[in-house]
Amino acid sequence: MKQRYYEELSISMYPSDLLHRFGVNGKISGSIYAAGEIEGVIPLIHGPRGCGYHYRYSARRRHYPFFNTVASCLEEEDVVFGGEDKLYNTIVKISQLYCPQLIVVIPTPVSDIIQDDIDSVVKKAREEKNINVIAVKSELFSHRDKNFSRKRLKEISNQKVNHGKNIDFDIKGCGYTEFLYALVNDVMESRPVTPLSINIETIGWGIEGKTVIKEMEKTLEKAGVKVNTYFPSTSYKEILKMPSGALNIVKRLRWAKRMKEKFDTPFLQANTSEIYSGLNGICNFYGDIGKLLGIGEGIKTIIEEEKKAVLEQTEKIRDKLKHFRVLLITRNIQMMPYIIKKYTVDYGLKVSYSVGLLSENYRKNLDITETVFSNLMKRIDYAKQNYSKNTRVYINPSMKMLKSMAGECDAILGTNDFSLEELEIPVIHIRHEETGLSFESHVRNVKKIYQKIKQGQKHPHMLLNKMDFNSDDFPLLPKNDILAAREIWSKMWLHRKDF
Amino acid sequence: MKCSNSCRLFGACQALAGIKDSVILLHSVVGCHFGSLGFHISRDMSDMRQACTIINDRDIIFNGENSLKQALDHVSKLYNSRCITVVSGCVSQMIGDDVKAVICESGNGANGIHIDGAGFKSDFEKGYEDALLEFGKTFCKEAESYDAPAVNIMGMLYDDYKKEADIKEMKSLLGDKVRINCVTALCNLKDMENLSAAHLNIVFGRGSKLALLLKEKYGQPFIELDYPYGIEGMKRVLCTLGNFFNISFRSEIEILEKSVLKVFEKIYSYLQGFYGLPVCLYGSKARVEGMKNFLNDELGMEVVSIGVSSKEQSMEDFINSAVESDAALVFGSSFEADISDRLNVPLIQYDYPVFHRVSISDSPYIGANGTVYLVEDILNSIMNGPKSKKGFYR
Repeated sequence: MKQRYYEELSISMYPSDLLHRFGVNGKISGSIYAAGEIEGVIPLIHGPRGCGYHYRYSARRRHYPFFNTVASCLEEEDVVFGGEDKLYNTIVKISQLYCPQLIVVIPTPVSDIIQDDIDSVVKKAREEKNINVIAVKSELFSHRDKNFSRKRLKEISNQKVNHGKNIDFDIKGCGYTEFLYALVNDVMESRPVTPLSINIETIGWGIEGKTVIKEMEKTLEKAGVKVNTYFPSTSYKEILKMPSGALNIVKRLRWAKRMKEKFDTPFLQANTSEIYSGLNGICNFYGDIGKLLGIGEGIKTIIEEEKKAVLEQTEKIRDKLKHFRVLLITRNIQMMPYIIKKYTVDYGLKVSYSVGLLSENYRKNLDITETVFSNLMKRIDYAKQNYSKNTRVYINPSMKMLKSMAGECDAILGTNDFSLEELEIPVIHIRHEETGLSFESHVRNVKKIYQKIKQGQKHPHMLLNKMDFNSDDFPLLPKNDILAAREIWSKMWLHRKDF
Repeated sequence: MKCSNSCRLFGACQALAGIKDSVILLHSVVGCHFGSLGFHISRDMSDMRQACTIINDRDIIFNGENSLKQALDHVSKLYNSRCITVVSGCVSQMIGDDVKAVICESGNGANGIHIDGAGFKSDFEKGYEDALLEFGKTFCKEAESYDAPAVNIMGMLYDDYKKEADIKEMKSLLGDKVRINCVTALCNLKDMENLSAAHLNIVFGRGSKLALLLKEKYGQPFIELDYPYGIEGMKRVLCTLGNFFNISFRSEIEILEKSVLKVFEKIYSYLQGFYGLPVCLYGSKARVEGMKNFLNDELGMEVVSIGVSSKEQSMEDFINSAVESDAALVFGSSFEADISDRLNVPLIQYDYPVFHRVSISDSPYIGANGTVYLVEDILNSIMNGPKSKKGFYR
């Protein structure tokens, strides 16, 4: 495992956040990404050679290409007369050449258009050649559901802080979920369930995610809970054991819902917001696991002990943090209530000001209507009233106002916006905070925030700040070509219906 | 204990070996010769102006003066040099060889000089200072000052990584406005003799003893500066010179800044990845300070652990602090690979000795071009890690 910050730095060498300002990955990337997690599986892209070539790198694995990707290399003749024979021959060839434990055929827009009967080809290869091969089903034509973020934000805005259930996080058509669904649907078979055993979906656990998973296991072990297997980051053989698990801890839902239908395996979605935010949220998370495993009462004591230990370990630091006044600045106003709660209740900081930066473009792109905005502000007001009455909240204040706020504070938290260095107080980059669901990660966060505030590093001559970044387009460099590319993307994707 | 820097002999060699028409003769055991060449291999093996008396066990018993005499004869005959610098090591000091007398007897009195490089006496830094001072005392003359502004540069090492390219960049930045009279790490004997012709000595961390001597003897002022990494580092040099000579470098600074930013626009997203990134840093004082300012102030990184290669630095303390830190990058010499390997993060080699990289291109680390090359090297070091991975989350 790489050192934490280096792992993150390596990942930033494939700046997908930036690329997402101009486009999104095609659906194939999600499937390749999932396949890349599983030992013994070869993904076969049923499409032209360009797909087989570039998806090795654009496979959502950032700077790590997935070299073991193959393709049927459809050509013009196949597009006219059908590519089924070619697919069949490729499956047979791949099976002989690489002897994988499983081949997963991934459809492409081309194979979707020519309507190759992939299922029949796969069935034929299984029956005639005894090859273990399955196919992913296309849920959408080429890319994920573009309205996902808007719908989700709207749903969040309607939810009361700390009262709602976690909102489902599942993007249709991203390829990843479809791949996992295919595994559940086509290769898993019923097995006896091992009580108090869990399966853990391994992706999306954030900074220090692998460490957090290990720490979560350690806590659950105290209650007699053991890991049955991981999904999908393990071997194909291990994945076959999934139905033995008594509970799925999941990040995406559709595959989990399919397991519920097929094997009656319950699931719990592990978000770090809403009811699972902050230290109490971590307690809620383990409490819910306990309830679903039928050990709700037993796990309570363990949670209480863990919480007590966390409070003891952080007590002195929280005492010191009480003396710091911070300026919270975020572009994520839907999360602002929980950020206020975290800094005040969990860390003990004084949040003097909480500032939301919400550009017109952002509002437009996420379809933040007046109603949605008003509801989001109500949530922030709730957090203010309940966790930090003296915090003053501003949306899009002027630089002059920000300077005045900074003059009263010791540090800025909640942001990665380097332009805020202009305010001449230390900016504590959000990269220093984990979003984990382990008690240990909470302790690390409190300690790290104290360390960084104490160090108080400023960066007065940043080269980035000599470029003409502006708040509206952050983190894009507002050059004509860049903004034009962004605008075209926005018109062709986010607001296609408007034009 | 682990050594934080080398000994007096290495410092002396690095101070004086850059004088191109001189030869270094080590009066020492072969290990000193071979060891110092080890740091030279990756720099310029076409330049081999170093020899050794190879003191052996017989010399220990009967003294090594005869060996020194023989070696001096060989050097005189084989090299067409204007000067022979005899750097004596620990052993010759311990056996009490009269090096100065041998130099005189051999007929090299006028162009020979003895530098005491006994490693047990002091460290690299002191060896550098004393050698440069001794050389200056012997060879520097009162010279007529230039009409136009002129400076000398001290503190660079013979085997500094990027030395030639850095000097070229500096010359290009100063243009016609300030002449570089002598860079002690890359010059000839005549330049050293005429040091006093310049109006000002710039001391990048080392060479202050000679600078002080020149001040006392010829009234030549000096200023001590950090090594000028980044735009701000170079600005400090230009502003200092501008103030001293009452000339303006405003247009040079504007061009410097504009040209760097124009290139960096291409990689602005990668630069964003540097913001708030913890790193650790090791090197000589002036380089560490200069690099720290660049990384922290201009790239927005957070320097969480710093070590300075001096006698006072406990290497164990630095290594422990670096290894226990959460640094994602290590900046230092090739020896800091120990730390980067343990942290499993890239090492950016920028300070002497650099033996795991070559630099034969015109690619400085200072000035406009240098800032670009340095950042390019940082990014490529990060991207150059292993590429095969079983699973992204495995």
